[in-house]
Amino acid sequence: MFNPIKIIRSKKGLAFKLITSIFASIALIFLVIFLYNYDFSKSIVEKNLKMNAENLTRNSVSQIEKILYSIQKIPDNYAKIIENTDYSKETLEKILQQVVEINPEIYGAALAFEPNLFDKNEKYFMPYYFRKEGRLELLYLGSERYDYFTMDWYQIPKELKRPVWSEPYFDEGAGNTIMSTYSVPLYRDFNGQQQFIGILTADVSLDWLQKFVNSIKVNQTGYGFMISQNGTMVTHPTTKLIMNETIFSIAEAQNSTQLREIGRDMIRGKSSFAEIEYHNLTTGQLSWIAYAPITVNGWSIGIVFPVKEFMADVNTLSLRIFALALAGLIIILIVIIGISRSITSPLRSLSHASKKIAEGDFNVELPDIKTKDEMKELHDSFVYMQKKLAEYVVNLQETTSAREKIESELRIAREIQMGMIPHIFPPFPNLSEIDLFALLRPAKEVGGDLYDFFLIGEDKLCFAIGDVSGKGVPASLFMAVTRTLLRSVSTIDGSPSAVVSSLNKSLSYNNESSMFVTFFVGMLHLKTGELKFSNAGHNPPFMIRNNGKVEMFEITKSIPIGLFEEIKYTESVVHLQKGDKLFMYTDGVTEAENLDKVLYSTERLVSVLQKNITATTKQLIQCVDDDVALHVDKYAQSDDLTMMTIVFYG
Amino acid sequence: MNLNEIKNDKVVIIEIEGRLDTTNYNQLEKKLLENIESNNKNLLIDCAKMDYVSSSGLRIFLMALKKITSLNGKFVLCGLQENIAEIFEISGFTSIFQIFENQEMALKVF
Repeated sequence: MFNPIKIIRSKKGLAFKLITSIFASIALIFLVIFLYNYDFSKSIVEKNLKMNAENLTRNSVSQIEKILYSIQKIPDNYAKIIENTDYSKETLEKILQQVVEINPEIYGAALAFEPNLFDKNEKYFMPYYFRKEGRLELLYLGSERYDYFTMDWYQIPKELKRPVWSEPYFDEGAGNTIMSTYSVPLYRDFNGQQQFIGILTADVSLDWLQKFVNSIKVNQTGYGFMISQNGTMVTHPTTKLIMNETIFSIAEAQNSTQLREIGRDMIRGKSSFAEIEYHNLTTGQLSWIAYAPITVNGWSIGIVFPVKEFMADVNTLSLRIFALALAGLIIILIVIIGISRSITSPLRSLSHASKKIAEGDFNVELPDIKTKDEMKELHDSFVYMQKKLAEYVVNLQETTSAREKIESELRIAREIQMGMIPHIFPPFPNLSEIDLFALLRPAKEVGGDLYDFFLIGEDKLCFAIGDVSGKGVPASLFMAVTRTLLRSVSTIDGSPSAVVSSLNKSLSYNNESSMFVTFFVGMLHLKTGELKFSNAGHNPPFMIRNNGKVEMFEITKSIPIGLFEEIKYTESVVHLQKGDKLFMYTDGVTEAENLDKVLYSTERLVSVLQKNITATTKQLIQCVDDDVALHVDKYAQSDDLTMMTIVFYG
Repeated sequence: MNLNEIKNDKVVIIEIEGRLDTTNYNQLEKKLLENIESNNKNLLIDCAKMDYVSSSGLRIFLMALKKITSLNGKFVLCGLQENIAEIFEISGFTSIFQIFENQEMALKVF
């Protein structure tokens, strides 16, 4: 009764879909938050770093310049003294000695005059006081071999007409420190005109500068450095670079155009903050360089910021956030799995139960749902469905068995009905005078059509065809009564009209339902071919003459039997020739309908009869039946259908 | 099938439209019995629009005829189509029913 329905479960179940979709979206949200946070923190750190860098460089520059200014002031002041003093050799030596003696940061000082200015006979005049092993020594430099007029320290301030700091240099004699010489041009008023008379120099140790710059520490590995006007490393944590390398030679070695650019900007006196792939020689990490010029001497200070170290906090923070997010995701995953299990496991049980129900097991136990949610509703609906299905099936079984009982009873009724009419053909194999064939096909199990034939005495064939109004069980009962009465009222000396009248009287009595039968009764004398017949409202039969002519019996205008008791029925007589045939039928033939409600019609019946005049009784009925079937096509048979043919051989 | 009922003082006219067969004869039966029960003894059935009548339908006509005749009423038919008139002819019903060509002629009887 029930077809087991194959439940195809998708490989990717509800739980899987829930987990993937929810988990994926939450993971995405986390990722976006994480990335945003990382980017934002990074930009804050960068901003702070930039600010720090600017402050740090600015402070460093201003401190260095302050010191340089204070150092410059010494030679500057002495220069003023010399310019405004009537000097003798001793005075000058004294002044020079004082410069070195009372200023510990000055290692040596020289006074170099223009040729022949101090002494007309002496081209060179250049006293030089310097420290040697804790004492001061005086030397007179200037000779053919040391023609100081062409030296940079002399030429440049003279030409620029302003004091100049020299490029740094390494002085072994003066205590292995880096030195720079500050040269101040001297002028004197000659007849109202300022005239250059010479240069005062002071050799300054840059030890303090190195210490200062080296003291700059940025985070863990950041440091400061300083380059001179032509890019020479003046200070650097890596000592071997000092005075041996320029920023450009380092750029060359590292093949860094960026560093070269920075070097150029630095010696041009620019200040900036640049992000470069500067290979810090010790760490080799990405660094930023902030730089600013020291305007006093045109040098430039650079500070290296190890960005990664600054970013370390951001990275640590990000890592922690990532770990937290991961932990959160795992918790969410567990929760989702839990929820989806709680959804899908009862679903699976319900699915299993429904399969069982489909297989007819209505007592299958449904999963117990403790929650009061949609799952509970579904469960309750399932319980309801299970109950209703069980009821329905019981009901259905009852109705089915009742129907089967009726059907079986109808089958039996049909067998009884069919048994009431003769159905063995040929019916009279010993009679050479006639042949007879008949067919009855009810539209339902049982019907209201009838035919009958029997011999009365030895030479009289009584035959009848009839059609009860309506069809089905009521008609079949009426048919059975009619058929039974027919046999009982047909006596040896009775006439067809007497038979019909007698039948009518019996059937009309107490016939409240007004059921009626159209009825044709004939009595054929086998020896003479005389046919007496009476027609009570039945379709007139056809006579197929041996010459091929098809004639319709007259219309008697007698009403069907079973309606009014007093009606008298008449009868007529025709004579059959040898080979003449009778064709009788009910309106189930001529009123057979097709799908378009078109009737088969009397005309079409006549044309089939005319086409088959030589056919045997059985063949003729077969031909008409086939033609009716052709007309009806697939449409259900609408009415009981009966045909009977008799051929008279004489 | 459609049944159209028109009532006046003397007569109830029932117009039958379409096919009268085993599937719907009980509608007509019900309508006729209702009228008979409410003492409408003069009935005219207009068959002008009736395309087909089966023997079940004819039975209802006969039932009504018998009942109304026994109550001294009149049960009259009119406007039979050709194929239906033929059935009436063959079954001899023309001799027991009063049949007229149209309503106008039939109404003169009442």
